[in-house]
Amino acid sequence: MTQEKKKEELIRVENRLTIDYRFAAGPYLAKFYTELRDKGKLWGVRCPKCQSLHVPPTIMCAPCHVKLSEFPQDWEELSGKGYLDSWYKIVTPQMDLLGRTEPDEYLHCVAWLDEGVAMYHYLNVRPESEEERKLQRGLRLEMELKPIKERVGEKEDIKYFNILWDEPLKKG
Amino acid sequence: MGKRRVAIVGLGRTYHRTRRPDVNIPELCYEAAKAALEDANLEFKDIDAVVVGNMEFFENRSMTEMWQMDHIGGYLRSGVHVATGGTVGATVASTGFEYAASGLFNHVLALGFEKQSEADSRAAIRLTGDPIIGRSLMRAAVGVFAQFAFNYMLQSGCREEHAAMVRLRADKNACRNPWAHLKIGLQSIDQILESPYLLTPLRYLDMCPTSEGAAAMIIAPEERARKITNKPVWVKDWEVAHNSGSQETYGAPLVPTTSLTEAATILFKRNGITNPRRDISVAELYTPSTYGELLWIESYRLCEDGEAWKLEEKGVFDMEGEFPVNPSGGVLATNAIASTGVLRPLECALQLREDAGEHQITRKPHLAFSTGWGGFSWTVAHLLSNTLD
Repeated sequence: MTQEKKKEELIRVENRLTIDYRFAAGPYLAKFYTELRDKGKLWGVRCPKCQSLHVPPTIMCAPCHVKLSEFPQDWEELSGKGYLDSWYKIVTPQMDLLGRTEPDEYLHCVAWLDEGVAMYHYLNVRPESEEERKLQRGLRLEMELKPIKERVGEKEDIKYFNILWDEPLKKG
Repeated sequence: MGKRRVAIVGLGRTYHRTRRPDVNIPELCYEAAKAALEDANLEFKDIDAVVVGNMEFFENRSMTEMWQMDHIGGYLRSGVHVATGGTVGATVASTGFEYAASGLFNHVLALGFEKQSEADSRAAIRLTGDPIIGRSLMRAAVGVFAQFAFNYMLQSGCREEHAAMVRLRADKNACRNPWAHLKIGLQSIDQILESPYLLTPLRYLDMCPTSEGAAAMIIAPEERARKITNKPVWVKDWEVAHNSGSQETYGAPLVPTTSLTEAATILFKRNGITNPRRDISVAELYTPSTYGELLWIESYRLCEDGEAWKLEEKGVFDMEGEFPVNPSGGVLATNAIASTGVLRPLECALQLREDAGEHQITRKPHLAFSTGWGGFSWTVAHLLSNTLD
């Protein structure tokens, strides 16, 4: 360290905050997640006015201002099948909402389900794989769930979407 | 809009940097507030209301106005704290306009700041996600813009080179703006096409930086504005639209562009704008991503669908072009979140006053369009003019 005039010390105060939280799911989401966990079923609720399907179910259709029914009225079971809309490879690991920054094992995708709703989830394709190179919009998808004893009542009870390579592409 | 016409009569901002360890938050805000007051030839005692924008938890604080209200002229004054995601600065501006138009206040200070190195804004952004649905999958802003990029490329025919052109334009503009943050000195799109990917198809250089800084405007109703300055920037009109707060709902495409189109369409119709690139002289759009900028130029109906990348290729949006977009370097060069949205109308005001110095547009300015966007998805859009007609 050479002789130099004293610099002012710039103090920085450091701390780390850890906050516990516990969110209530409410009757709509609680039913949605317990059906997923215990029976492996995926449900949506249809707005009686505009006919849009809400997945996951919510208390209100926002554009219509209509209060949606609790299970089972207007609730419809989804097939878990759809088509590949878009896909994303996480090249530089990004922090997730649980504070983890780790490389993703699988690609992410947006799936257009047959019932006309979009879902963002994992795609059963690994980064840099042969399959990644063959991806195109319109590939047929089918949801796969985790085995029942691993399901806890969260979105990740759905493991990923599998590509049904032998089925025809969606047109248009 | 409103019973009284209002104008921006003063503006000021700090230099935007990755880090400002030499000042704390109140001191950072003081710099911007003081600069705006000096520009308006006013003093702290003249402020009668303060609108402060800052995103909660981005600096590990809630009620973030509490720390600096005393240091920016808010002592014993009316005021409100605004936090609307990326839109926040634009909402600060429109709230400031509303305060001034109400007839209740003479000099409104509208200030936005962010000091993002002090906590983890990426972590804080994740707190904006729906707490129950798929938190582990959410990759926040980057994931959202990857979706915009993917879809824009497929539907418009745009290629990676066109996104790189957007970054090149932003960087060239930023290098002429002493207040901008990121000034890389890029010379060609090849340099951008070498930058690594974040999430395909987005590269590092397709996204904005995280910056620290503050920006402020003084807004006054018409009769006061004329006494304060001979170059008032008139707030012609503004509009706010908001749609889905949730990522997966109503069978809609994730993160729709509906609110952008809605806000712009209503604003243009109400103001007789039928040919936006002819009627509007300059635009400062809140666009934190290159592909996003091309897509949203279309969403705002500034050109037809699928056309923006072609106009980019022709240099239409350059500083010397027919329709300059983001001559300041935009959000791609500088993003201190709550400051960013204030900088959009602020930079428009500079252009309209013909005070932007090295980054003044070539075209003679008359009407400017500034926007903010955030969350999933607010849009705030303003129209500013240097004449009252």
